[in-house]
Amino acid sequence: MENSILKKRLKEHIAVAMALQKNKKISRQVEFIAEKIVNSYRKGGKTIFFGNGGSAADAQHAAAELMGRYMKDRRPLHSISLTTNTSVITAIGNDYGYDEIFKKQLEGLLKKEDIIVGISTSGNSPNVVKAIEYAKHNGAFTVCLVGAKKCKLDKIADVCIKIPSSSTPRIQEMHGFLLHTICEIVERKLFP
Amino acid sequence: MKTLYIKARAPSRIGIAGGGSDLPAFFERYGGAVLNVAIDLYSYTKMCKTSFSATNIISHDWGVTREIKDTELEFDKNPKDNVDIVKAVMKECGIKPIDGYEILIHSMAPKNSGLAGSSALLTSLLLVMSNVAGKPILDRKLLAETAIKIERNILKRKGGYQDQYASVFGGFNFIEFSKSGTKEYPLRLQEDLIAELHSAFMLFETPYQRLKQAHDIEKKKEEDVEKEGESVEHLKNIRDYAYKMKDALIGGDLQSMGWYLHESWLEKQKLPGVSDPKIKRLYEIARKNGAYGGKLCGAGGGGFLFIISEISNRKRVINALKKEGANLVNFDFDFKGAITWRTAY
Repeated sequence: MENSILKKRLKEHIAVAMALQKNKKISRQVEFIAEKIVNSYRKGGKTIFFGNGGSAADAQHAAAELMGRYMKDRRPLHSISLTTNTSVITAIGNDYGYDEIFKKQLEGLLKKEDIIVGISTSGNSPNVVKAIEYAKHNGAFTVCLVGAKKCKLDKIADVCIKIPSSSTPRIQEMHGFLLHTICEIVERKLFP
Repeated sequence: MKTLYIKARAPSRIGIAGGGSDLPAFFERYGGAVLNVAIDLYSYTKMCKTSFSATNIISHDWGVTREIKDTELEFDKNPKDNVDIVKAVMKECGIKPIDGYEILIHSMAPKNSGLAGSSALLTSLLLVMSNVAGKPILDRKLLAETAIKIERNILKRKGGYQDQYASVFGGFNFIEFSKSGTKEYPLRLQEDLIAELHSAFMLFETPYQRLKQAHDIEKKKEEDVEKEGESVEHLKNIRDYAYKMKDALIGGDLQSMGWYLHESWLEKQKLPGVSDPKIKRLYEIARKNGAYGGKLCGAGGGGFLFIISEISNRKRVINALKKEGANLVNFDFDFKGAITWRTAY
């Protein structure tokens, strides 16, 4: 029984991966995001990740790959996730509301050269939307990873990668995969 | 005795983003947005009164000189030159050929270049003739709207609304179109940003002639939009890129501008009648030599190629395209828009 669920899910996962492989737009987007991140590092910028729940985990994961190392032994690349400081999150959440937790942090951290990566499977998470709006108005380059559904982030973010699936776990798996790939391209370009 | 000449000039434009979403069939349903910049390839009109009882229209670009005497203005069914535009503006302004005039028209932008030289011509004609008729149009928005009215109602041409605004106002313009009206936002950019953009913008005259007439392509697009065909989705994407392109332009982010230009050019090629293998090849060569992105100017099928490239790759792109027979066209941005003046000699 469990085996059949596993097989079913694997099939779904493979189907999404195949769709991703064929999607030329997403591959162009990935290349471009990596280029923008490389440019940002050259100008002294940083990469900021954030999201809710599983996407928060993805955000931390990606920040770790850049800050520590991914496949090469090299100097750290400045990146942070806005989901790690529980004192900050609970303080802002308590005093200003949960929708403000990322935006407020950006108000303190953001520089124009930075790349902002918001992760949201629905594409409508209010705290992510607010933060991306803020970053955009302040001249930073904004990237979003979302699902196939039409969402608020489509129009706001500079580049919005839409995973061709409507199932949250499948979308999240692909988000993780794409973040890894972006890290790899950035690493290769900066440390050839 | 000296002859008094009334002259006017209006700039042509580069459509940077959103082209196609300004088709009424589209924007009346979904809303449109375009970004363009006026450039100093002008269309000129020169007009004076003569003592004859006929009007002479001289167009050096088309190599025609036509004398018209008819009291009722008639339009050629298959216009091959710009004389119809002159007639249409005469009709709108109430100028009778029989009163005797000489009108000379000239566009610096070559025909079929996709730079909207004929819309600029119409604007300059309208400025001159409204002055000759003693009813000068001082309101710039009204001037643009009258130009659109003439183009659509009298000349029955298909096509977008953006060109007239560019030729009237000059400069960088972001224009939103919807059923309830048009909103134009002139972008006031700092000198340093303008210099940066000018260093990155390039225009190439391709050796390929446009095979189809622009308004045939526009007509196909309009028909497809009316049928709610595939064009609708592509035009929606093109419109959304216009907003993003505006943000990138204001931020001076050439890399992102090039990327949006590239992405919306890919979308545009999916529209009927736009794609052309020869142009595609030229474009690929530009990209391989370091250009961030680009597009074909105008409705498609042929014409001028617009490229954005960092200044460090500029020469490489120019040389590579030169080998293919596409030559760089020098231009500057125009911030004055349409102007009229008088001389006597």
